[in-house]
Amino acid sequence: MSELPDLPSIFFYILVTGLPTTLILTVLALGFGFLLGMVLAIMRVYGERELAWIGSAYEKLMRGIPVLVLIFIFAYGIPEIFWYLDSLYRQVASIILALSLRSAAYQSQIFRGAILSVNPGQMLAARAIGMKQIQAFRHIVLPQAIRLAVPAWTNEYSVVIKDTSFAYSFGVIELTKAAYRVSVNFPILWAPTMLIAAILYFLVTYPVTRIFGKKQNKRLKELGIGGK
Amino acid sequence: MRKQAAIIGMILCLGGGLAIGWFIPSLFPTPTRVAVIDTIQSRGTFIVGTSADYPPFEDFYTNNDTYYGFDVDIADLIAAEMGVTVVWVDMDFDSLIGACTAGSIDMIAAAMTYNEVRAEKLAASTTYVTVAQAVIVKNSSSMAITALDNLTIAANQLIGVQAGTVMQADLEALGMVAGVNFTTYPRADALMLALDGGAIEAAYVDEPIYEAFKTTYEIKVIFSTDPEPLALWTRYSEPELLYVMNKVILEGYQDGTIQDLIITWFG
Amino acid sequence: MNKPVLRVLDVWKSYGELEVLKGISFDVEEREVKVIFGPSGSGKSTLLRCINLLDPPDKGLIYLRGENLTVPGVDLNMMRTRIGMVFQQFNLFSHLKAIDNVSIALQRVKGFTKEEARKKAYDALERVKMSNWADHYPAQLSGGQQQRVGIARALAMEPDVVLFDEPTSALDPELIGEVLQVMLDIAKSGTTMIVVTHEMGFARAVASEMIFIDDGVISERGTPDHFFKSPESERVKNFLHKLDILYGGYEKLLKE
Repeated sequence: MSELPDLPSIFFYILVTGLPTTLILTVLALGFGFLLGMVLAIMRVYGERELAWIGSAYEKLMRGIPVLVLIFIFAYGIPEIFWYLDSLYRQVASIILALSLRSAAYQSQIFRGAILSVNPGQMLAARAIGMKQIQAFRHIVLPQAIRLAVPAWTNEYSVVIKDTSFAYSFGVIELTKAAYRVSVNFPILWAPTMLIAAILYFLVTYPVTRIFGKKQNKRLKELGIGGK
Repeated sequence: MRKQAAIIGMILCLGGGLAIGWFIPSLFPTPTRVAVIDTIQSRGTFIVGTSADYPPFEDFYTNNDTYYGFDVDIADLIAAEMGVTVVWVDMDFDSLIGACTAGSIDMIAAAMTYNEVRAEKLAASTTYVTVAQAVIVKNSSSMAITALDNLTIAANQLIGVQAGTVMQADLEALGMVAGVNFTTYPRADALMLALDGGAIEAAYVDEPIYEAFKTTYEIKVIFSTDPEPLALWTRYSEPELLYVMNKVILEGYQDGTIQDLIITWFG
Repeated sequence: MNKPVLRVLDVWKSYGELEVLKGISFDVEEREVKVIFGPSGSGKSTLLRCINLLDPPDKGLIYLRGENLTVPGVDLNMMRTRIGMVFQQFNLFSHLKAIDNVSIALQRVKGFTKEEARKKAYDALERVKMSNWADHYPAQLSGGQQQRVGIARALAMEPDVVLFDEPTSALDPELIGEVLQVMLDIAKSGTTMIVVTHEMGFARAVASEMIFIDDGVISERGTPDHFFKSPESERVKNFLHKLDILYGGYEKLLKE
């Protein structure tokens, strides 16, 4: 093999080959997790006892299972779930499914907390002027709940993006795998390469958590949302 | 009252759904089986799984984003025979068997030794190359053994193997215990690094691995075992593909193609 | 004689073991201002929430312009657009500007277009003298200003009757005046109102009838003159006396 690459070129290699895939996995997992998580949160807050119980049971179950186990279940245990997909994409789909299911559990908790933090008087007033409960939820409670949820949600984002690194052992070339490949080619650079990978993960998580967390908290204070 | 009704309703639906799922498929005529070889040819791509960290069998060069290695060339030969190109899926060695049985990959080409345990799950091709196992140490080491079970002496003689390989099984068959008498490493290069760094005194590897790394580190072979066969693997349900794999291997030996590859990669 | 705007007939409400309302009945005529007062815990707020069915009564009937609200199959959401409510804690929508607070129900519930809703909302804010603050968020407004927006929000729906649940009890003393002034104005312009309050000055000025609720029943009812000149029961007298000590001006209210 030729001479060792310098650190900037390693950085760019990992960035270009690995980061887009990592981000796509993260966005999909968070997106599906959001949809399911919101449904579960609504079930738990507004649903009848059976619905609320289902939502709660789901969350407790999913929080107790490690992500890797979930991925194994879908990738190898029941790959037929994705019978309609080309076999090449089945593993990726299993990973996204596993990550989404897990994220939905945590997001349902986040949104449930956020919804409950919205002053109950808001719902009362909305209904008093004639809004149906769904309307009141959609126009009055939900906008405030989402604003309240942002800090916790950026936390979930940073967890999911790191969980995508599990995909490395399933043939998906994401950030960790890209770094792994470089290290295999140049084992003497193992430590610096992995450090660069770590820095890249940090660069895509910390700014988001900081900016959205801080900005949102400031805005919340301005609007006086939440609390009695 | 409503709640009892709802719970009973839920249980009935669950039970009903399970029963339907159980019985209905048997009512349908079995769908005509599509041989994976037909899928491969209509798709134009042959999906091969490997763990590209094991030169000279399979390796991935990041500076030009290509796969290199003995197994890579063999897989290309098989793909050419079918008139398609190879799409590589680069994953953990331990996960390859699971991925193949699940249908995510069509074939495994990862220097995977033939043994009965694996043969129970997947169909092996005929042997495409045989390698020996060797015990290697640093040039500076004075260790010498006459048989493999000499390695069982004392835990301070630290031995390393790659996880999930036949080498690990060999040591365990001698009564050694992972973590006590030997350490496992997920990758060959990590194993070599550990040997070089002194974390282990000896490594028990495929002999071609020694060939690949002997220019990087100062190592020597102190013992080698009888040669063992490597195979390519696919599912038992795909005899057509297996046929093509075997055909390419046999013809490759007949016309010397594979011998040339061996010299290229191991010589 | 015109049908009453609101008829409350023999309403009962309990929370678990606790009986809060025990057979309340009264009518509210067009343009009337009913003031309901009494000791706390006597069920006054509960009564208001029963009237607009946010917390339906266990027994009893509510009629809005002759339509029975308490039978099943009634579109309660549509009915509630005809009953306005002003809350002690204002309950403005914190994420919306004042103008949007008032217009959102016009748009989403009554189906006006955005422009129509906005115009009507602006007019309502004018009535409560808050039109200059239309683009402010509730957090940027004082308590009195927020409550005035709350009143505008209720008025914009052009309801048959507006319910006021202790509208000034959560306000700092110096802000109470502006809200009472607005309430006086709309009372004088003919709005039908039911007001639960301790503000006896307001009652004296515009109440058509005052109802004293004690321990879940209507203990005494009559015109303001009746209460302030010659109340009957000792309970009422005690209550008015306590109020007066709170606010001062005993002699002005109660002529011996």
